[in-house]
Amino acid sequence: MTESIVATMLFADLMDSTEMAKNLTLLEYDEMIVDFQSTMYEVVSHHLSHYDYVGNGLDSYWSIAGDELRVFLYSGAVLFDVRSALLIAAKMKLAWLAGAFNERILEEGRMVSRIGVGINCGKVIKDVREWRVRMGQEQPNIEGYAINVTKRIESASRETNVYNIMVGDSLYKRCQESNEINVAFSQPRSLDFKGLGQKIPVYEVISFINFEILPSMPVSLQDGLLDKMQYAVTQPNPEPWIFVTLLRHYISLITSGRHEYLESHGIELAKQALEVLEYKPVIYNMLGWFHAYGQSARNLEMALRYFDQSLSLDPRNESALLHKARILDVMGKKDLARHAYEQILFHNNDHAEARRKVGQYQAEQQ
Amino acid sequence: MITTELLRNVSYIDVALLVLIIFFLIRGIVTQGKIKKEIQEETEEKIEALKKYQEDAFEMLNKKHESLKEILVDRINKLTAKLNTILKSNETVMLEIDNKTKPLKASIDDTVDQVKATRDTLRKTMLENEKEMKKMGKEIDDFSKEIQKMKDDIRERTIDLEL
Repeated sequence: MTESIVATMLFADLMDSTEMAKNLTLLEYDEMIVDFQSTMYEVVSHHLSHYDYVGNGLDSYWSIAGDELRVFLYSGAVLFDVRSALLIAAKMKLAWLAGAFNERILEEGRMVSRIGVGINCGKVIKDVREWRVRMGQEQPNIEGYAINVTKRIESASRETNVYNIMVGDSLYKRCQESNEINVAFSQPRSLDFKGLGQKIPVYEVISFINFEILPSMPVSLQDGLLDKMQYAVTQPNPEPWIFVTLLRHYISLITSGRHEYLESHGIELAKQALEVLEYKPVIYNMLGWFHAYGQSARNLEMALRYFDQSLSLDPRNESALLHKARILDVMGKKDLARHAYEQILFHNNDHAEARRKVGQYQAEQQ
Repeated sequence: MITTELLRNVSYIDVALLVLIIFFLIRGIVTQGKIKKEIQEETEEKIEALKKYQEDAFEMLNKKHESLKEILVDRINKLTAKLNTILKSNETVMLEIDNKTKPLKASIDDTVDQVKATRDTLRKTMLENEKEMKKMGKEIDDFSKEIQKMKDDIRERTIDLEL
C-alpha cells in the first residue's frame, strides 16, 4: 500500500573513506567496513528495540550498504523520531570512536576515520514494491525528494567540526518550535547542492545535551566506554562533542549521589572544553551547575558568575536565566531574582516556575 | 624217649606228689569253674533283676507320663475352652463396641477428612496467597523500580533542559 508519511531520515557514512581506501590495504579497508557495519548494526538495532520501535518497515526502516547507513523513522511522533535520530547519531559516533578498528588505528598513531551524519525531516512515499514481494522481501521502499536532500545534507557534514552532524531546515524548525530537546545549532549555511538548482539552509549541530546517550548504548559496547572517552579528551585535537557528552554524563553520575569526586574533575574538564568548543554557553551552564548543585564544589557566587558569562554570550539563554534567578532567590536578592524570572517570561510566557515565582513575589509585595 | 628217661629216674614219692599236684590242680580248676558258674549265674540273676526293675521303671514312667499327659490335655482342653469362651465373649464385646463406635468412628473419620481437606484447602489457599503475595510484592517492587526510574528520568530530562 502506497502511503505518504512524515519521516525523520538519518544518513551516515565514513568520512573520507575513498581517501582512506588509498592508504589502507584491501584487507584493512575491508576490516574497517566490517567493523563499521557491525557497530552500526549494534547501535541502530539496539536503539530501535530500546525505544519500542516495531521495525520491519512498520514505524522504522534501516539499511546499510558499504560504508553508508540509512535510517528512516516514522512512528507518528515526529519530535520523538527527531530525538531518536539525534541519539542514534551521537551513539553511532561514540560506538565508532571506541570501536576495535579505531582503537588499533589510534594505537598505531594514525588518524581515525570519523562518521558524517545528515538528518532531516520530510514527506516521503512508503510503498512495498511488487518486485520486492516477488523477491520474498516485505520491506517498504521509501522514496521522495526529502531523501535526496538528506543525502546532500549528509555530504555537507564533512564541512563541520563539532559533531559532524548536519541537519536540514525542517528538522531545525521542529527543534526550535519545541523546547523538549536541548540541541543547539550553528548559524544557517546556505549550501548550493548540485542537481537541486537552489540553495538550501543547513545547520550544524554544535551541542546536544541528552542524558540517555551513554545509558542507552548497547550493553556490549558499554564496557570501558567511559574510560575510552576520558582517554580521548586527553589526546591532541580531541573531537569537541566528546566533552559535551562526557560532562553531561558526569552530571548524571553526580546527581545519582555516588560520585562527588567527579565535581572537581568535571570543572577541570569543562574548563578544557571552553578551549576546544566554539559554542560556550552550554559549558558555562555546566560549570555553573557544578558550583550551584555540587556538594564539594558548591559556591553560589562562582555559579552566578558562570551563568552570567553564559548570558553574556547568549542573553536569551533560558537555562542560564533560570539558574541565575534561583541562586539570587537563595541569596535573598529577591528583586534581582524576580527580574531574571521576568526575563524568562518575556521569551517564554508559559514557563511554569517563572510564573509561579513572579506571582509569589507579587503577593509578598502586596 | 624223654618220658622213658624221666620214668627211669623218678621215685614213687615223686609220682605220688605229682598225682597229688594234678589232683589239686584238677580240683582247683573244678572249684574255679564252679565259682565262675556261680558268679555267672549270680550276674545273670542280677541282670534279670535289673532288667525287671528297668521294665518296671519304664512301665511306671509310661504310666506317669500317660497320666501327666492326660492331666495336661485335660487342662489344656479346659483352658482352650475357657479361652474360646473369653474370646467369644470378647468378640461379642468388640462387635458390640464396634457397632456402638461405628457411627462415632465414621463421624470422626469424616471430621478428620474434613479437617484434612480444610487443612489442604488452607494450605493451598495459603500457598496461593503466598504466591499471589509474592507476585504482588514483585509487581509492587517492579512498579516502585519503574516509578523510581521514571522519577530519575524526569530529573535527568529536567537537567537536560536546564543546561
